Amino acid sequence: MGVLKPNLGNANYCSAGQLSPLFNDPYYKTIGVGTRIFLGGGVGHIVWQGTQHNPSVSRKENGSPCVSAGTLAVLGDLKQMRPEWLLGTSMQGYGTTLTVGIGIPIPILDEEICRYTAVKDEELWTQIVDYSEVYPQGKKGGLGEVNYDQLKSGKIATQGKEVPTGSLSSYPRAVEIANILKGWIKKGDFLLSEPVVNLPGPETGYTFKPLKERPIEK
Amino acid sequence: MISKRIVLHFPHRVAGQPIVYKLVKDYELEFNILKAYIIPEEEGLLVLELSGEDKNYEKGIQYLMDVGVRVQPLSQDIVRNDQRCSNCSVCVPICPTGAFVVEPLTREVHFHDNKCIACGLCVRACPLQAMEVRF
Repeated sequence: MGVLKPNLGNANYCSAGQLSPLFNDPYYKTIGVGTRIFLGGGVGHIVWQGTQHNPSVSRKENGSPCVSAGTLAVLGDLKQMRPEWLLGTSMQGYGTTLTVGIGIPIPILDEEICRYTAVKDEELWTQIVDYSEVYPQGKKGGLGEVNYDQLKSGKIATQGKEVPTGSLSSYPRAVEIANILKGWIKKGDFLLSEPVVNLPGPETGYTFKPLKERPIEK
Repeated sequence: MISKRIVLHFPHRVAGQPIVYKLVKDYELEFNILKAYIIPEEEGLLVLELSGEDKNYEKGIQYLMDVGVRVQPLSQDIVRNDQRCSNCSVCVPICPTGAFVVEPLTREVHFHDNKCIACGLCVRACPLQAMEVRF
């Protein structure tokens, strides 16, 4: 998404990478329905998986997905939210949307979760996708795989070209949210919650079906 | 030869004079209008690309200032609204002159307005509309 220059002129990515909640709990061990979260500056909750939740994708050895996988549906109180964390946004050529600050506490309950939360940018991988043709037409095929450390270095290599990168997510804001949430928890204002129901993980076989456009049959 | 993009503010009292005509006739300067508007009874604004011989250009600018026109270089006219900016960095590869630089440690985005040529690409590309054109 975002403005793209012709002939692989730039590449955009999103997510804070090593600070992203879903990258820190890739099998949704602590994140589930009911989890209390930081949402838009106030307190909200996770209510369900998101519409594009797709946990059954290929994963690396550390459990992190190689393509977009988990998504969340969240609910919050607009009256608690603040303009720094809930921003009207205009994506040129796509339309209007919202930029929302979200922070999810992950309790380190055992060694396994500790290992997941220690993940670094160089261990998180994603696919380079051509948004001019392959993605909108639902075609198969990527332009290669990169990790978040490479994306954050400012340039990636693909098709024999060096392509400058830009992020759609703000890492400084992600750090700020993490610190605010830490402050709330330390003060005792924000209590951690156990999920009421777990989100569907890879073991459930739950998948996301893309909507394929078909010509009208006469 | 010199060619610069400048912003001219015309106060109400000079709005009736043929000023740009003089730039062409007396100083042999070439102009290309990039933007213009007039608020009747108040002021006029003109964004020009002005080119010509170095000496003539200097004299032309002096003439403008003498008649009371305020002259500003265009580079000062793209400003970042720091309250609106989230430091996401999507503008970084869009800028043709590399005016946005990411601080490697904090990942904050710095805007160097001395490198800005006021092309306006970032204004449209910024999802939060933090880049503003000011005249």
